Amino acid sequence: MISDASPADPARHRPASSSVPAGSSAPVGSPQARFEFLPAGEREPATVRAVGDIDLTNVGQFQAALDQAAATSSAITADLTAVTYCDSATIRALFIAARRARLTIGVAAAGPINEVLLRVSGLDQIATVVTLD
Amino acid sequence: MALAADAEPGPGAAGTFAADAEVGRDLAAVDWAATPLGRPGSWPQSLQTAVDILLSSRFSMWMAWGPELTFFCNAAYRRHTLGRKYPWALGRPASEVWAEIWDDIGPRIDTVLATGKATWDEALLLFLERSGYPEESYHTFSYSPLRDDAGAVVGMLCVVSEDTERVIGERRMATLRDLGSDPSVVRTEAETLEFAGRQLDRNRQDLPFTLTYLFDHDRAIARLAGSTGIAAGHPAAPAMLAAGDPDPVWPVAVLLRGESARDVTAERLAAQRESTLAGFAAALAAAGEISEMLTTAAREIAAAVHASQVTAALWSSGDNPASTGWPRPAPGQGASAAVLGALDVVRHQPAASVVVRPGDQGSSLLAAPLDGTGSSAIAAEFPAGRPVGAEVRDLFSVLTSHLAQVLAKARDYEQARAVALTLQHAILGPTELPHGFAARYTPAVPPLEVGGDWYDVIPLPGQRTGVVAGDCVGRGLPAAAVMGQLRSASQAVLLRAPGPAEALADLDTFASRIPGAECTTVFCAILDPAAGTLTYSCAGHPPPILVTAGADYRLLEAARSLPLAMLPADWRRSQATAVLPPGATLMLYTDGLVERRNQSLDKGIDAEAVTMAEYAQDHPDDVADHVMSAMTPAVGYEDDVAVLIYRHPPAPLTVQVPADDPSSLALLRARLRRWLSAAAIGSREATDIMIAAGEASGNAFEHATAGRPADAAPVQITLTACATHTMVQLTVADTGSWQPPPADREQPAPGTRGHGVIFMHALMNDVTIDPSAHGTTVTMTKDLKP
Repeated sequence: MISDASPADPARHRPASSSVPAGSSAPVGSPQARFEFLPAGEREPATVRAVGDIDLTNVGQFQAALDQAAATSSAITADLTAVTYCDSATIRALFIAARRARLTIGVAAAGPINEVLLRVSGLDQIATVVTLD
Repeated sequence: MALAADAEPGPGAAGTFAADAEVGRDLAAVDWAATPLGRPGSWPQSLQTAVDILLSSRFSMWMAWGPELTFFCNAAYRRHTLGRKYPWALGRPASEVWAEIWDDIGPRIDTVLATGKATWDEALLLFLERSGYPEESYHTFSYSPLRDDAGAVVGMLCVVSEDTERVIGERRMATLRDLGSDPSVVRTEAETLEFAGRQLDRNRQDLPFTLTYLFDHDRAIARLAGSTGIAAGHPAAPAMLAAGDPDPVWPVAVLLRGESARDVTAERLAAQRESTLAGFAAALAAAGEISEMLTTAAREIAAAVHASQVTAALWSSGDNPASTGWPRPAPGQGASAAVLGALDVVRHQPAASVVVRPGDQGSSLLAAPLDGTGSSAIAAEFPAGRPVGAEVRDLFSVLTSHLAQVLAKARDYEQARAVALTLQHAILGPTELPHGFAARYTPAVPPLEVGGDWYDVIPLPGQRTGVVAGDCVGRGLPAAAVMGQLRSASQAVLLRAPGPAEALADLDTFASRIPGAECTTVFCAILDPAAGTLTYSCAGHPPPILVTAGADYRLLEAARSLPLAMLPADWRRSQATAVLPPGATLMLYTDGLVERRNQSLDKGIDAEAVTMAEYAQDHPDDVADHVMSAMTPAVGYEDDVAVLIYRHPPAPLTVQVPADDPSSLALLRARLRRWLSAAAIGSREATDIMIAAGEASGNAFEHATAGRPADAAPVQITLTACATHTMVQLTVADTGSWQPPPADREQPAPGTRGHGVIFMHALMNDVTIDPSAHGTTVTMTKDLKP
């Protein structure tokens, strides 16, 4: 083991995250989407953090970020707490990711990924859903 | 013999132990089946007889029987010797009960068992731990053998008398006698000191250390001249004591006055206890609710008595209490079985009683009840080896008694407060408003939650709604009492009256009969959402503000008249009707919102209207928040404030976008989002509608262009939305052709397409998909919660 002072905050020790702005033009009145891939740290699994609206026009980039995470780690987290809109395209991307890695999904209590989407799609049965206030 | 009947199989336990009701009950409670002796019904006659003799005797006795020397004792032994080990000791191996002196008594018992001959010991020194600390004690006792039915020695009986007081008393008398002996011989000062020191040092048990000081001639200073049992230079043995020292190690000034020095430990403890109690009371007074109070008490008690853990428990129903404590227990980790047992024992005891019990791993427990009903108790745990003396017990008792009193008051207060809040909320009116309404209410006199202002929304026959705002004269409780009556009355009159003018006329009559109700101002209106009209009449109330979707505003100033019960006999109230344009916002309010010292009412109303107009298309809840925060004076409101906002359904939304532009979907969403908040749709329902619309337009986006010739006209997606006060209808139409929707609605395989249509059905109340040669139209409706 190479001697390496363990930093107090593991997140600070991570490599710089890659951030992919999505959507060629900023849509009127809705937050521009952004997808960040955070490699696994000492305590956290590999994480994809999505911000803004996810729809057909940018779900491919979300899928790509999930693929990148699943390629590096057997357990990944999709942090969707800052997502302002999503639909069945997003649910499909999460299904594909859940087939490749153990998936945990973080959602905001008042966010768009509500209990109906998770239950009706069955996604709540193959992924762990964590609801944050 | 009385026991003969009990020798038969059966329960028998109560009979075997019948000679002493109290100890007998505790003996009967022992799980005898778990001991080598088995159930009492199966015991040999010899054992039953021995137990009966033991329990019948007034002499202090204990006995042991069987391979593990299982322990029994009687009431006298319990009282004199066993102390807090009772009733824990019953039925346990004697070597466990008297573990701390087993080295002394074990060999004697072995001798009795081996030889069958009795032992005799007089005033044997034993260090017992019967009060939580090792204690010097002297016992005179005899161990005699007990034989089974076949005559074999299988146990022993100990008859014991305690000599502790006699032995210690004699020892102290001897020291006093020796100190004063041989007075005829004249000695030098040094010889006298040396002689006294020798005598004092002989009794280290009663005098662990002594210090002898001699005063100088001027009596200002005392110098250390002799000591026993204490090292030189010890802080308690200063070489010199000054008579003038305000805080001396030893009270020499008292001795100089010719008084004998007293032990002030008790006084110091009492003073310490007073200050601890004062601090405890202050900490409790700062705690709010009962649960917070218990946690605070646990923390303070733990600090005061140096306990390792303090646990408080509340029983509401059933046997499992809710517990809190200090240090705070880890989540999911409750109190130990020993602590819960102590709490359960003590909770039914009379107030101010304290129970001492052994805890886990050699620890000791003090427990006290917190009320007379058995619903709460508190326990402190002390680590093994920490003596729990009388002063600790007393302090614990004082603190828990105080806590019990404070808790009783807090319970009364919380009950009274709950009654008051329930009544206030009943007076105040609706907490659930129909769709499209938002309200804010701020009473002027805290901690009251009601004042003289009110608002009301009353469902009326024919899909109409009564809308009222009122303001009684004055503030605080008297105004609130009048308000409650007028609010109920206004509900009743609106249900019967043909219009708001007649409703106010009825209220005039009512108000003239209630002291303090005259001169109340009221705005009373009937809203007809289908017709888009508001019919109103005003009794001296500030004019409501009507803001259009385009941010124009006006005041509803027609049909104004005097406040309630102020009308001359020949005046009649009038009414007027205002048309509500689509998306209009109506705000009723009381003058507390706009009235300011040094400012005319008109100016305040203008400022309020301007604020409202800025948020003409926001959700009514947001409008209410903006108005309240924009209008709040720096010093807070001086009067009660009531605000009631209604948003009329907006004009339908129509958006058309080209399907081949990637930004089209985002544009559709942005326009729909804005329209939904203007239509006063709540965030959960708005989210459902957004997703359903997204699925429908996403399908159009994906499929509309499929299989079309390249030179065909670009496909358009058209979204329309319209709202009533009960539902939203949404259509998404395109000019292309769709994939046929799935024939059945079973779950699609995970990860495959097809969730979109299912989501639409799950999120909306009614969905129809109508494909045709010229395009596809999805029509969906969502019912709004009333």
